Amino acid sequence: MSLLLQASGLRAGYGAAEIVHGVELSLSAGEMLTLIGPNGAGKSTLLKALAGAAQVMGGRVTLMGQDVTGASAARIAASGAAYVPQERNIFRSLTVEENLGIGGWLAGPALAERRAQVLRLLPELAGFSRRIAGRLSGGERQTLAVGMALMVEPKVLLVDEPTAGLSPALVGRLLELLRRLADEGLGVLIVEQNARAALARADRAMVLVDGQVAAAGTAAEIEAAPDLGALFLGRAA
Amino acid sequence: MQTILNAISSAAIIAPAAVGFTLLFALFRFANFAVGALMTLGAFACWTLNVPVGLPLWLAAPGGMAVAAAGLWLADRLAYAPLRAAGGATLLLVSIAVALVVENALRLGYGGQIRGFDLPLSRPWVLGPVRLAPEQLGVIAVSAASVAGVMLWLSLSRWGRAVRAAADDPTLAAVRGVPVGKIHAAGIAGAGALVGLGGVLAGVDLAIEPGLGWALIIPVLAAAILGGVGSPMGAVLGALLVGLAEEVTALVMSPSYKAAVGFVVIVLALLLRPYGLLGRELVRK
Repeated sequence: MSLLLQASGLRAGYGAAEIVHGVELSLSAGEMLTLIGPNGAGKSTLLKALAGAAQVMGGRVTLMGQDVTGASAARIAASGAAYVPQERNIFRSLTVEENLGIGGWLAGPALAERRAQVLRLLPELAGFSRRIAGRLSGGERQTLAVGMALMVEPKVLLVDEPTAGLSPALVGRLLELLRRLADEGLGVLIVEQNARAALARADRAMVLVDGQVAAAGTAAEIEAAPDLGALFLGRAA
Repeated sequence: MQTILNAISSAAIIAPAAVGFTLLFALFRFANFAVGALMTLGAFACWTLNVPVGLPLWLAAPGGMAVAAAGLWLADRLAYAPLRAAGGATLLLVSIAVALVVENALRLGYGGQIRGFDLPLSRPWVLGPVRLAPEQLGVIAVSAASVAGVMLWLSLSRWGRAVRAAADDPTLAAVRGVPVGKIHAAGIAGAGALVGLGGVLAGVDLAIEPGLGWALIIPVLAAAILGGVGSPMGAVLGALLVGLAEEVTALVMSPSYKAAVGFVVIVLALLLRPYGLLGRELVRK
Protein backbone atom coordinates (compact mmCIF):
# COMPACT_ATOMS: atom_id res chain seq x y z
CA MET A 1 0.00 0.00 0.00
CA SER A 2 1.49 3.32 -0.98
CA LEU A 3 1.34 6.21 1.42
CA LEU A 4 -0.86 9.01 0.04
CA LEU A 5 -1.40 11.52 2.81
CA GLN A 6 0.64 12.18 5.88
CA ALA A 7 0.36 14.80 8.62
CA SER A 8 2.84 15.21 11.44
CA GLY A 9 2.51 17.53 14.40
CA LEU A 10 -0.40 19.20 12.64
CA ARG A 11 -1.80 22.23 14.44
CA ALA A 12 -4.75 24.05 12.91
CA GLY A 13 -7.65 26.37 13.62
CA TYR A 14 -9.28 29.63 12.62
CA GLY A 15 -7.93 33.12 13.26
CA ALA A 16 -6.20 33.04 16.63
CA ALA A 17 -8.00 29.94 17.91
CA GLU A 18 -5.99 26.72 17.67
CA ILE A 19 -8.38 23.78 17.64
CA VAL A 20 -6.20 20.88 16.49
CA HIS A 21 -3.07 20.43 18.62
CA GLY A 22 -0.36 18.29 17.08
CA VAL A 23 -2.02 15.40 15.23
CA GLU A 24 -0.17 12.53 13.53
CA LEU A 25 -2.05 10.91 10.69
CA SER A 26 -1.36 8.77 7.66
CA LEU A 27 -3.52 7.40 4.90
CA SER A 28 -2.59 4.84 2.26
CA ALA A 29 -4.12 3.85 -1.05
CA GLY A 30 -7.05 1.48 -0.72
CA GLU A 31 -7.57 2.43 2.90
CA MET A 32 -10.60 3.87 4.66
CA LEU A 33 -9.80 5.80 7.81
CA THR A 34 -12.54 7.18 10.00
CA LEU A 35 -12.20 10.03 12.47
CA ILE A 36 -14.57 9.83 15.41
CA GLY A 37 -14.92 11.73 18.65
CA PRO A 38 -17.32 13.96 20.56
CA ASN A 39 -18.75 17.16 19.15
CA GLY A 40 -16.24 19.98 19.20
CA ALA A 41 -13.25 17.65 19.24
CA GLY A 42 -11.82 19.27 16.12
CA LYS A 43 -12.57 16.48 13.63
CA SER A 44 -13.96 18.77 10.95
CA THR A 45 -11.22 21.34 11.54
CA LEU A 46 -8.58 18.63 11.07
CA LEU A 47 -10.19 17.57 7.80
CA LYS A 48 -10.47 21.18 6.62
CA ALA A 49 -6.83 21.82 7.47
CA LEU A 50 -5.83 18.81 5.35
CA ALA A 51 -8.02 20.19 2.52
CA GLY A 52 -6.63 23.72 2.77
CA ALA A 53 -9.93 25.12 4.04
CA ALA A 54 -8.74 25.87 7.59
CA GLN A 55 -5.57 27.58 8.72
CA VAL A 56 -2.55 25.34 9.31
CA MET A 57 -0.63 26.73 12.31
CA GLY A 58 2.17 24.25 12.56
CA GLY A 59 3.41 20.82 11.60
CA ARG A 60 3.68 19.37 8.12
CA VAL A 61 1.29 17.87 5.58
CA THR A 62 2.46 15.87 2.59
CA LEU A 63 0.32 14.61 -0.25
CA MET A 64 1.94 11.87 -2.30
CA GLY A 65 5.33 13.01 -1.09
CA GLN A 66 4.71 16.63 -1.99
CA ASP A 67 4.71 19.22 0.81
CA VAL A 68 1.29 20.91 0.84
CA THR A 69 1.50 22.48 4.31
CA GLY A 70 -0.66 25.60 4.30
CA ALA A 71 -1.46 25.30 0.57
CA SER A 72 -4.73 26.74 -0.78
CA ALA A 73 -7.81 24.59 -1.24
CA ALA A 74 -7.47 24.91 -5.01
CA ARG A 75 -3.86 23.74 -5.00
CA ILE A 76 -4.59 20.77 -2.77
CA ALA A 77 -7.53 19.86 -5.03
CA ALA A 78 -5.22 20.07 -8.04
CA SER A 79 -2.65 17.92 -6.22
CA GLY A 80 -5.07 15.00 -5.89
CA ALA A 81 -7.03 15.38 -2.64
CA ALA A 82 -10.74 16.12 -3.09
CA TYR A 83 -12.64 17.56 -0.15
CA VAL A 84 -16.37 17.07 0.35
CA PRO A 85 -17.66 19.62 2.88
CA GLN A 86 -20.42 18.65 5.29
CA GLU A 87 -22.84 21.37 4.27
CA ARG A 88 -23.10 23.52 1.19
CA ASN A 89 -21.33 20.84 -0.80
CA ILE A 90 -23.31 21.19 -4.03
CA PHE A 91 -24.35 24.15 -6.21
CA ARG A 92 -28.05 24.28 -5.45
CA SER A 93 -29.10 26.40 -8.42
CA LEU A 94 -27.27 24.28 -11.01
CA THR A 95 -28.44 20.98 -12.47
CA VAL A 96 -26.81 17.72 -11.40
CA GLU A 97 -25.09 17.56 -14.79
CA GLU A 98 -23.75 21.11 -14.41
CA ASN A 99 -22.57 20.33 -10.88
CA LEU A 100 -20.52 17.44 -12.23
CA GLY A 101 -19.10 19.77 -14.88
CA ILE A 102 -17.94 22.27 -12.24
CA GLY A 103 -16.63 19.38 -10.14
CA GLY A 104 -14.52 18.48 -13.17
CA TRP A 105 -13.26 22.01 -13.77
CA LEU A 106 -9.68 20.83 -13.22
CA ALA A 107 -10.16 17.76 -15.43
CA GLY A 108 -9.91 19.93 -18.55
CA PRO A 109 -10.23 17.98 -21.79
CA ALA A 110 -10.73 14.70 -19.93
CA LEU A 111 -14.10 15.97 -18.66
CA ALA A 112 -16.34 13.66 -20.74
CA GLU A 113 -14.24 10.64 -19.86
CA ARG A 114 -14.33 11.54 -16.17
CA ARG A 115 -18.09 12.03 -16.26
CA ALA A 116 -18.53 8.56 -17.75
CA GLN A 117 -16.25 7.12 -15.08
CA VAL A 118 -18.15 8.84 -12.24
CA LEU A 119 -21.49 7.68 -13.65
CA ARG A 120 -20.12 4.15 -13.76
CA LEU A 121 -19.15 4.40 -10.07
CA LEU A 122 -22.39 6.18 -9.09
CA PRO A 123 -24.98 4.96 -11.61
CA GLU A 124 -27.84 6.52 -9.61
CA LEU A 125 -26.63 9.99 -10.64
CA ALA A 126 -27.50 9.27 -14.27
CA GLY A 127 -31.13 8.91 -13.26
CA PHE A 128 -31.49 12.55 -12.24
CA SER A 129 -28.77 14.34 -14.18
CA ARG A 130 -31.13 17.07 -15.41
CA ARG A 131 -32.68 17.91 -12.05
CA ILE A 132 -31.83 21.11 -10.17
CA ALA A 133 -29.48 20.08 -7.39
CA GLY A 134 -31.32 22.15 -4.77
CA ARG A 135 -34.36 19.89 -5.20
CA LEU A 136 -32.53 16.61 -4.52
CA SER A 137 -33.18 14.53 -1.41
CA GLY A 138 -30.51 14.30 1.29
CA GLY A 139 -29.09 11.02 0.05
CA GLU A 140 -29.07 12.10 -3.60
CA ARG A 141 -27.36 15.33 -2.60
CA GLN A 142 -24.56 13.54 -0.74
CA THR A 143 -24.08 11.15 -3.64
CA LEU A 144 -23.77 14.13 -5.97
CA ALA A 145 -21.29 15.81 -3.60
CA VAL A 146 -19.11 12.68 -3.67
CA GLY A 147 -19.56 12.43 -7.45
CA MET A 148 -18.37 16.02 -7.90
CA ALA A 149 -15.29 15.31 -5.83
CA LEU A 150 -14.55 12.22 -7.94
CA MET A 151 -14.64 14.22 -11.18
CA VAL A 152 -10.97 15.18 -10.88
CA GLU A 153 -9.88 11.56 -10.37
CA PRO A 154 -8.49 12.22 -6.90
CA LYS A 155 -6.20 9.85 -5.04
CA VAL A 156 -7.55 10.97 -1.68
CA LEU A 157 -11.13 11.73 -0.63
CA LEU A 158 -11.66 13.88 2.46
CA VAL A 159 -15.32 13.57 3.42
CA ASP A 160 -16.88 15.54 6.28
CA GLU A 161 -19.88 13.85 7.94
CA PRO A 162 -21.46 12.55 4.74
CA THR A 163 -24.32 10.88 6.57
CA ALA A 164 -25.48 13.81 8.72
CA GLY A 165 -29.26 14.02 8.53
CA LEU A 166 -29.70 10.84 6.47
CA SER A 167 -31.99 7.94 7.33
CA PRO A 168 -30.27 4.80 8.73
CA ALA A 169 -30.76 2.92 5.46
CA LEU A 170 -29.08 5.72 3.51
CA VAL A 171 -26.25 5.95 6.05
CA GLY A 172 -25.37 2.35 5.28
CA ARG A 173 -25.56 2.83 1.52
CA LEU A 174 -23.36 5.92 1.52
CA LEU A 175 -20.72 4.32 3.74
CA GLU A 176 -20.79 1.24 1.48
CA LEU A 177 -20.15 3.53 -1.46
CA LEU A 178 -17.11 5.07 0.26
CA ARG A 179 -15.87 1.56 1.17
CA ARG A 180 -16.20 0.57 -2.49
CA LEU A 181 -14.17 3.62 -3.55
CA ALA A 182 -11.43 2.63 -1.08
CA ASP A 183 -11.50 -0.88 -2.53
CA GLU A 184 -10.94 0.66 -5.96
CA GLY A 185 -7.70 2.16 -4.64
CA LEU A 186 -8.58 5.55 -3.22
CA GLY A 187 -7.51 6.71 0.20
CA VAL A 188 -10.73 7.68 2.00
CA LEU A 189 -10.69 9.77 5.16
CA ILE A 190 -14.10 10.43 6.69
CA VAL A 191 -15.31 12.31 9.72
CA GLU A 192 -18.35 10.45 10.99
CA GLN A 193 -20.87 10.80 13.79
CA ASN A 194 -22.41 7.41 13.11
CA ALA A 195 -19.37 5.80 14.73
CA ARG A 196 -20.58 2.19 14.74
CA ALA A 197 -21.68 2.25 11.13
CA ALA A 198 -18.39 3.84 10.09
CA LEU A 199 -16.23 1.45 12.14
CA ALA A 200 -18.01 -1.48 10.55
CA ARG A 201 -16.68 -0.42 7.13
CA ALA A 202 -13.39 1.34 7.90
CA ASP A 203 -9.94 -0.23 8.04
CA ARG A 204 -8.61 2.05 10.71
CA ALA A 205 -9.99 4.64 13.08
CA MET A 206 -8.75 7.57 15.12
CA VAL A 207 -10.52 9.03 18.12
CA LEU A 208 -10.04 12.76 18.49
CA VAL A 209 -10.69 14.46 21.84
CA ASP A 210 -10.00 18.15 22.46
CA GLY A 211 -7.97 18.43 19.29
CA GLN A 212 -5.65 15.53 20.13
CA VAL A 213 -5.54 11.88 19.16
CA ALA A 214 -6.95 9.96 22.14
CA ALA A 215 -6.70 6.57 20.45
CA ALA A 216 -5.81 5.10 17.09
CA GLY A 217 -5.86 1.59 15.73
CA THR A 218 -7.71 -0.79 13.49
CA ALA A 219 -11.44 -0.28 13.37
CA ALA A 220 -11.95 -3.53 15.28
CA GLU A 221 -9.55 -2.47 18.06
CA ILE A 222 -11.27 0.87 18.50
CA GLU A 223 -14.69 -0.71 18.52
CA ALA A 224 -13.56 -3.24 21.14
CA ALA A 225 -11.91 -0.71 23.47
CA PRO A 226 -14.24 -0.62 26.49
CA ASP A 227 -13.72 2.90 27.72
CA LEU A 228 -13.91 4.43 24.27
CA GLY A 229 -17.03 2.47 23.56
CA ALA A 230 -18.69 3.89 26.61
CA LEU A 231 -17.55 7.39 25.82
CA PHE A 232 -18.28 7.80 22.14
CA LEU A 233 -19.85 4.88 20.43
CA GLY A 234 -23.09 5.00 22.32
CA ARG A 235 -23.67 8.53 21.16
CA ALA A 236 -25.54 9.10 18.00
CA ALA A 237 -25.14 12.54 16.47
CA MET B 1 -51.48 46.73 -29.23
CA GLN B 2 -49.55 50.00 -29.26
CA THR B 3 -49.34 49.82 -25.46
CA ILE B 4 -47.79 46.35 -25.64
CA LEU B 5 -45.29 47.50 -28.24
CA ASN B 6 -44.37 50.51 -26.11
CA ALA B 7 -44.04 48.24 -23.08
CA ILE B 8 -41.65 45.97 -24.99
CA SER B 9 -39.76 49.06 -26.05
CA SER B 10 -39.42 50.27 -22.43
CA ALA B 11 -38.48 46.77 -21.32
CA ALA B 12 -35.80 46.58 -24.01
CA ILE B 13 -34.10 49.65 -22.53
CA ILE B 14 -33.98 48.38 -18.96
CA ALA B 15 -33.51 44.63 -19.52
CA PRO B 16 -29.74 44.54 -20.25
CA ALA B 17 -28.96 46.78 -17.26
CA ALA B 18 -31.32 44.74 -15.05
CA VAL B 19 -29.52 41.55 -16.09
CA GLY B 20 -26.19 43.28 -15.36
CA PHE B 21 -27.46 44.44 -11.96
CA THR B 22 -28.73 40.99 -11.05
CA LEU B 23 -25.46 39.32 -12.12
CA LEU B 24 -23.50 41.74 -9.97
CA PHE B 25 -25.81 41.01 -7.07
CA ALA B 26 -25.45 37.27 -7.55
CA LEU B 27 -21.66 37.47 -7.59
CA PHE B 28 -21.02 40.13 -4.98
CA ARG B 29 -24.18 40.08 -2.84
CA PHE B 30 -25.01 43.75 -2.74
CA ALA B 31 -27.38 46.07 -4.58
CA ASN B 32 -25.12 48.21 -6.75
CA PHE B 33 -26.89 51.55 -7.05
CA ALA B 34 -24.08 52.87 -9.23
CA VAL B 35 -25.59 50.88 -12.13
CA GLY B 36 -27.70 53.91 -13.11
CA ALA B 37 -24.69 56.24 -13.15
CA LEU B 38 -22.66 53.66 -15.10
CA MET B 39 -25.46 53.54 -17.68
CA THR B 40 -25.11 57.31 -17.98
CA LEU B 41 -21.33 56.91 -18.31
CA GLY B 42 -21.86 54.41 -21.14
CA ALA B 43 -24.30 56.78 -22.84
CA PHE B 44 -21.85 59.71 -22.63
CA ALA B 45 -18.92 57.62 -23.87
CA CYS B 46 -21.04 56.46 -26.80
CA TRP B 47 -22.20 60.04 -27.48
CA THR B 48 -18.55 61.20 -27.51
CA LEU B 49 -17.65 58.63 -30.13
CA ASN B 50 -20.87 59.21 -32.05
CA VAL B 51 -21.17 63.02 -32.17
CA PRO B 52 -17.77 64.75 -31.70
CA VAL B 53 -15.74 61.86 -33.16
CA GLY B 54 -18.35 61.07 -35.77
CA LEU B 55 -18.51 57.27 -35.65
CA PRO B 56 -21.82 55.65 -36.56
CA LEU B 57 -23.85 54.58 -33.55
CA TRP B 58 -23.30 50.86 -34.07
CA LEU B 59 -19.53 51.46 -33.85
CA ALA B 60 -19.78 53.90 -30.97
CA ALA B 61 -21.96 51.61 -28.84
CA PRO B 62 -19.21 49.01 -28.10
CA GLY B 63 -17.06 51.93 -26.96
CA GLY B 64 -19.76 52.97 -24.51
CA MET B 65 -20.00 49.40 -23.25
CA ALA B 66 -16.22 49.18 -22.79
CA VAL B 67 -16.07 52.49 -20.89
CA ALA B 68 -18.91 51.45 -18.57
CA ALA B 69 -17.16 48.11 -17.92
CA ALA B 70 -13.89 49.94 -17.21
CA GLY B 71 -15.74 52.32 -14.89
CA LEU B 72 -17.24 49.40 -13.00
CA TRP B 73 -13.86 47.70 -12.78
CA LEU B 74 -12.28 50.89 -11.41
CA ALA B 75 -15.09 51.34 -8.87
CA ASP B 76 -14.58 47.73 -7.81
CA ARG B 77 -10.82 48.12 -7.36
CA LEU B 78 -11.01 51.46 -5.54
CA ALA B 79 -14.20 51.18 -3.53
CA TYR B 80 -15.95 47.79 -3.47
CA ALA B 81 -13.09 45.28 -3.21
CA PRO B 82 -11.44 46.89 -0.16
CA LEU B 83 -14.82 46.89 1.61
CA ARG B 84 -16.01 43.43 0.50
CA ALA B 85 -15.86 42.08 4.06
CA ALA B 86 -17.98 44.94 5.42
CA GLY B 87 -21.23 43.48 4.08
CA GLY B 88 -24.02 44.33 1.70
CA ALA B 89 -25.44 47.37 3.50
CA THR B 90 -22.07 49.15 3.54
CA LEU B 91 -21.44 48.33 -0.12
CA LEU B 92 -24.89 49.62 -1.07
CA LEU B 93 -24.07 52.99 0.54
CA VAL B 94 -20.65 53.00 -1.11
CA SER B 95 -22.31 52.35 -4.47
CA ILE B 96 -24.53 55.41 -3.99
CA ALA B 97 -21.35 57.41 -3.36
CA VAL B 98 -19.84 55.93 -6.53
CA ALA B 99 -22.98 56.99 -8.42
CA LEU B 100 -22.61 60.56 -7.18
CA VAL B 101 -18.91 60.63 -8.08
CA VAL B 102 -19.62 59.37 -11.62
CA GLU B 103 -22.53 61.77 -12.09
CA ASN B 104 -20.48 64.78 -10.97
CA ALA B 105 -17.43 63.75 -12.98
CA LEU B 106 -19.71 63.70 -16.04
CA ARG B 107 -21.15 67.11 -15.09
CA LEU B 108 -17.61 68.45 -14.74
CA GLY B 109 -16.49 67.05 -18.08
CA TYR B 110 -19.59 67.60 -20.19
CA GLY B 111 -21.56 70.34 -18.41
CA GLY B 112 -25.23 70.05 -17.65
CA GLN B 113 -26.79 70.46 -21.07
CA ILE B 114 -28.89 67.82 -22.75
CA ARG B 115 -27.38 65.78 -25.57
CA GLY B 116 -28.59 63.24 -28.08
CA PHE B 117 -27.08 60.74 -30.48
CA ASP B 118 -26.70 61.59 -34.13
CA LEU B 119 -29.47 59.42 -35.56
CA PRO B 120 -30.87 59.71 -39.05
CA LEU B 121 -34.34 61.24 -39.02
CA SER B 122 -36.83 58.58 -39.90
CA ARG B 123 -40.51 58.26 -40.37
CA PRO B 124 -42.19 55.65 -38.13
CA TRP B 125 -43.69 52.64 -39.84
CA VAL B 126 -47.45 52.45 -39.54
CA LEU B 127 -48.85 48.94 -39.46
CA GLY B 128 -52.59 49.21 -38.98
CA PRO B 129 -53.14 50.65 -35.51
CA VAL B 130 -49.48 50.36 -34.52
CA ARG B 131 -46.72 52.90 -35.03
CA LEU B 132 -43.13 51.69 -34.77
CA ALA B 133 -40.05 53.87 -35.18
CA PRO B 134 -37.06 52.17 -36.84
CA GLU B 135 -34.79 53.06 -33.90
CA GLN B 136 -37.35 51.50 -31.55
CA LEU B 137 -37.06 48.26 -33.50
CA GLY B 138 -33.27 48.58 -33.34
CA VAL B 139 -33.36 48.98 -29.54
CA ILE B 140 -35.62 45.95 -29.16
CA ALA B 141 -33.50 43.79 -31.47
CA VAL B 142 -30.16 44.72 -29.88
CA SER B 143 -31.54 44.31 -26.36
CA ALA B 144 -33.12 40.93 -27.10
CA ALA B 145 -30.00 39.65 -28.85
CA SER B 146 -27.66 40.76 -26.05
CA VAL B 147 -29.83 39.36 -23.29
CA ALA B 148 -30.37 36.07 -25.14
CA GLY B 149 -26.63 35.83 -25.79
CA VAL B 150 -25.85 36.29 -22.10
CA MET B 151 -28.44 33.66 -21.11
CA LEU B 152 -27.05 31.14 -23.55
CA TRP B 153 -23.51 31.86 -22.42
CA LEU B 154 -24.49 31.40 -18.76
CA SER B 155 -26.25 28.11 -19.34
CA LEU B 156 -24.15 26.49 -22.06
CA SER B 157 -20.55 27.62 -21.80
CA ARG B 158 -17.98 26.32 -19.35
CA TRP B 159 -17.15 29.80 -18.08
CA GLY B 160 -20.79 30.84 -17.92
CA ARG B 161 -21.59 27.84 -15.75
CA ALA B 162 -18.61 28.69 -13.57
CA VAL B 163 -20.03 32.21 -13.12
CA ARG B 164 -23.29 30.67 -11.89
CA ALA B 165 -21.40 28.28 -9.62
CA ALA B 166 -19.30 31.10 -8.14
CA ALA B 167 -22.50 33.11 -7.60
CA ASP B 168 -24.13 30.12 -5.91
CA ASP B 169 -21.26 29.28 -3.54
CA PRO B 170 -17.85 30.90 -4.03
CA THR B 171 -16.18 28.84 -1.30
CA LEU B 172 -17.23 25.53 -2.82
CA ALA B 173 -16.29 26.78 -6.29
CA ALA B 174 -12.78 27.51 -5.02
CA VAL B 175 -12.56 24.06 -3.39
CA ARG B 176 -13.44 22.53 -6.77
CA GLY B 177 -10.60 24.48 -8.40
CA VAL B 178 -12.67 27.18 -10.14
CA PRO B 179 -10.58 30.40 -10.32
CA VAL B 180 -13.09 32.57 -8.48
CA GLY B 181 -11.02 35.75 -8.85
CA LYS B 182 -11.00 35.42 -12.64
CA ILE B 183 -14.71 34.62 -12.61
CA HIS B 184 -15.38 37.81 -10.66
CA ALA B 185 -13.33 39.79 -13.18
CA ALA B 186 -15.29 38.22 -16.05
CA GLY B 187 -18.54 39.01 -14.23
CA ILE B 188 -17.53 42.66 -13.85
CA ALA B 189 -16.59 42.90 -17.53
CA GLY B 190 -19.80 41.25 -18.70
CA ALA B 191 -22.14 43.07 -16.32
CA GLY B 192 -20.37 46.37 -17.01
CA ALA B 193 -20.80 45.90 -20.75
CA LEU B 194 -24.51 45.09 -20.31
CA VAL B 195 -24.98 48.16 -18.13
CA GLY B 196 -23.14 50.30 -20.71
CA LEU B 197 -25.33 48.88 -23.45
CA GLY B 198 -28.36 49.74 -21.34
CA GLY B 199 -27.08 53.33 -21.21
CA VAL B 200 -26.66 53.45 -24.98
CA LEU B 201 -30.18 52.09 -25.50
CA ALA B 202 -31.54 54.62 -23.02
CA GLY B 203 -29.68 57.37 -24.90
CA VAL B 204 -31.49 56.42 -28.11
CA ASP B 205 -34.84 57.02 -26.42
CA LEU B 206 -34.11 59.66 -23.78
CA ALA B 207 -32.13 62.88 -23.44
CA ILE B 208 -28.56 62.24 -22.31
CA GLU B 209 -27.62 64.35 -19.29
CA PRO B 210 -25.47 63.62 -16.19
CA GLY B 211 -28.46 62.92 -13.92
CA LEU B 212 -30.00 60.39 -16.34
CA GLY B 213 -28.96 57.47 -14.13
CA TRP B 214 -31.36 58.38 -11.31
CA ALA B 215 -34.33 58.03 -13.63
CA LEU B 216 -33.01 54.67 -14.87
CA ILE B 217 -31.94 52.97 -11.65
CA ILE B 218 -35.47 52.69 -10.23
CA PRO B 219 -37.03 50.72 -13.13
CA VAL B 220 -33.83 48.62 -13.38
CA LEU B 221 -34.00 47.84 -9.68
CA ALA B 222 -37.75 47.17 -9.91
CA ALA B 223 -37.21 44.72 -12.78
CA ALA B 224 -34.45 42.89 -10.90
CA ILE B 225 -36.42 42.69 -7.64
CA LEU B 226 -39.66 41.67 -9.33
CA GLY B 227 -37.92 38.93 -11.28
CA GLY B 228 -36.00 37.71 -8.26
CA VAL B 229 -32.62 39.28 -7.55
CA GLY B 230 -29.84 37.04 -8.82
CA SER B 231 -31.92 35.47 -11.59
CA PRO B 232 -31.07 36.83 -15.08
CA MET B 233 -34.18 35.27 -16.62
CA GLY B 234 -36.21 36.85 -13.83
CA ALA B 235 -34.67 40.25 -14.60
CA VAL B 236 -35.88 40.00 -18.21
CA LEU B 237 -39.35 38.98 -17.12
CA GLY B 238 -39.30 41.77 -14.53
CA ALA B 239 -38.26 44.29 -17.20
CA LEU B 240 -41.23 43.27 -19.37
CA LEU B 241 -43.66 43.61 -16.48
CA VAL B 242 -42.23 46.96 -15.35
CA GLY B 243 -42.41 48.21 -18.95
CA LEU B 244 -46.02 47.09 -19.16
CA ALA B 245 -46.88 48.67 -15.81
CA GLU B 246 -45.32 51.97 -16.93
CA GLU B 247 -47.24 52.03 -20.21
CA VAL B 248 -50.56 50.99 -18.70
CA THR B 249 -50.20 53.69 -16.04
CA ALA B 250 -49.46 56.23 -18.76
CA LEU B 251 -52.88 55.41 -20.29
CA VAL B 252 -54.76 56.50 -17.18
CA MET B 253 -52.41 59.00 -15.56
CA SER B 254 -50.09 61.77 -16.62
CA PRO B 255 -46.79 60.33 -17.90
CA SER B 256 -45.00 62.48 -15.32
CA TYR B 257 -46.00 59.81 -12.79
CA LYS B 258 -44.11 57.17 -14.77
CA ALA B 259 -41.16 57.44 -12.41
CA ALA B 260 -43.35 56.39 -9.49
CA VAL B 261 -44.37 53.13 -11.20
CA GLY B 262 -40.98 51.54 -10.52
CA PHE B 263 -41.26 52.40 -6.84
CA VAL B 264 -44.77 50.95 -6.64
CA VAL B 265 -43.57 47.74 -8.32
CA ILE B 266 -40.70 47.46 -5.82
CA VAL B 267 -43.02 47.93 -2.85
CA LEU B 268 -45.59 45.44 -4.16
CA ALA B 269 -42.94 42.86 -5.03
CA LEU B 270 -41.31 43.13 -1.61
CA LEU B 271 -44.68 42.89 0.15
CA LEU B 272 -46.17 40.05 -1.87
CA ARG B 273 -43.23 38.04 -3.17
CA PRO B 274 -39.92 39.11 -1.60
CA TYR B 275 -37.90 36.52 -3.50
CA GLY B 276 -39.32 37.69 -6.81
CA LEU B 277 -40.98 35.66 -9.53
CA LEU B 278 -38.02 33.42 -10.34
CA GLY B 279 -35.84 34.07 -7.32
CA ARG B 280 -35.01 31.72 -4.51
CA GLU B 281 -34.29 32.33 -0.90
CA LEU B 282 -30.67 33.28 -0.49
CA VAL B 283 -29.09 31.28 2.28
CA ARG B 284 -26.73 33.47 4.21
CA LYS B 285 -24.74 32.55 7.25
